[in-house]
Amino acid sequence: MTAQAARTVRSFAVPRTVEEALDTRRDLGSDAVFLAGGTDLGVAMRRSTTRPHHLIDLSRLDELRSLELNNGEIVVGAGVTHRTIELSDLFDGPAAALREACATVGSIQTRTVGTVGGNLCNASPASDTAPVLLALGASVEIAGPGGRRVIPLDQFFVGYRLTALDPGELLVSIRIPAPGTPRGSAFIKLGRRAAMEISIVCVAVRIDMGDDGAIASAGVGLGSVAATPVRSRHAEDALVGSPSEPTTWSGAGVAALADCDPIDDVRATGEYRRAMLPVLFARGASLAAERAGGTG
Amino acid sequence: MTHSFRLSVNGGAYHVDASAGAFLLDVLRDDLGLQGTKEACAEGECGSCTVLVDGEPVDSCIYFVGQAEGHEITTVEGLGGSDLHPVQRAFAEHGAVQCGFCTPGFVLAAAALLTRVPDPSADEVREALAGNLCRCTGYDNIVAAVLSAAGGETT
Repeated sequence: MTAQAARTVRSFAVPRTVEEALDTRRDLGSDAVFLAGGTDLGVAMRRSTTRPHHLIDLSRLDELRSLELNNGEIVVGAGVTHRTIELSDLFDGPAAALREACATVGSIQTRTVGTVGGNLCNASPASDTAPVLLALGASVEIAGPGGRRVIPLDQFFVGYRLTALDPGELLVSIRIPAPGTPRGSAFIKLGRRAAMEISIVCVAVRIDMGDDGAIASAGVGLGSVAATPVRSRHAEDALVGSPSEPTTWSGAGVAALADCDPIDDVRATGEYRRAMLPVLFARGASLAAERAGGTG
Repeated sequence: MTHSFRLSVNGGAYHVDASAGAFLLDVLRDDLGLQGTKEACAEGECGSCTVLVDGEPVDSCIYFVGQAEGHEITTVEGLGGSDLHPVQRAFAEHGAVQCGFCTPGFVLAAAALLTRVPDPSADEVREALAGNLCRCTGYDNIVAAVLSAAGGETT
């Protein structure tokens, strides 16, 4: 049985370059949607919550599949799958939190085709990858009819499931800047079970240690606590200049609450999320600091 | 609107006329008559529709047939040759099949695991099979079957 929304699709385009993909989208108009892995779009079409007339398959664009380390900067093509990142040794070091996050997205079946770019463009407030990339200070490269642009990821999520992409634009890559000092990162996710979970709350922490034994720089990303993935400036401010020790984590975890506005939903109450956030934060911060070479 | 798609399934080449937005699961079952792959949740959660794409597990219920072009698709019918695949034999021997509806998905996911990790721990088996749900068995016999298949001869 073919899903209803699938029956209304008139064409399946397979461009070979970003420019061809953009031209195809321009020619077909707003009834056409870009298809990355399909693990969100396929579900939406199965439920008939979206009914595009045209699909533009991005999986053949080599540019979107690249995964590179250039002088410490990691460039992740938007079409790189969660599974690729899960298994990549590029994330053994300072950006380990991204591998930890990607490893929790759905199942192996999901991760084999689902992409990091698609995850960001889906812009769920519960995205696992977004808090990590916010904490790592990532920026995103966007291509559209007007050309290409790069914006910080913390300008990418503009509302509930809304991104800064203009109609006809697509995400090309995610850039994780090179660390200047010893860096560690960690991702902690709370769910009701051990796998296949949309998080109740999740936390990503990035810590850069200074020569003096204090935290020189930090990034904190939070998920499932607001309408969008959140970068917690309050937590970051509490970390910077502080020593790598438990009192720092508990103070910063409480500070993070100022950037949260969690709702009650099927998975948990807002009250429970607020109670759990500092606990997860302390675990993540401690682990990130340990990985950065701090005492944790 | 129908499109013509070229698919490689279980080592065979097929031309299929299907809706441009058709999902691979429906094409496998309805156009190619390969009904070993099952539809249960139809939203990428339960793994009953698992197929291998270039040897890696994918939920075919949310995977468009157009995405499958240019890749090697393996369904449960394509596992093993004239004999049962070791995973299939182990499932039968260990009581890992009750109603059987989840079984093709589990068998493919397990076979892919053992290709990647020939000697997994029980925890590794459970993690690898997290995307496959079973309502009948309680999973213990499934894990035992996979460990047994790993311990024996695997191709």
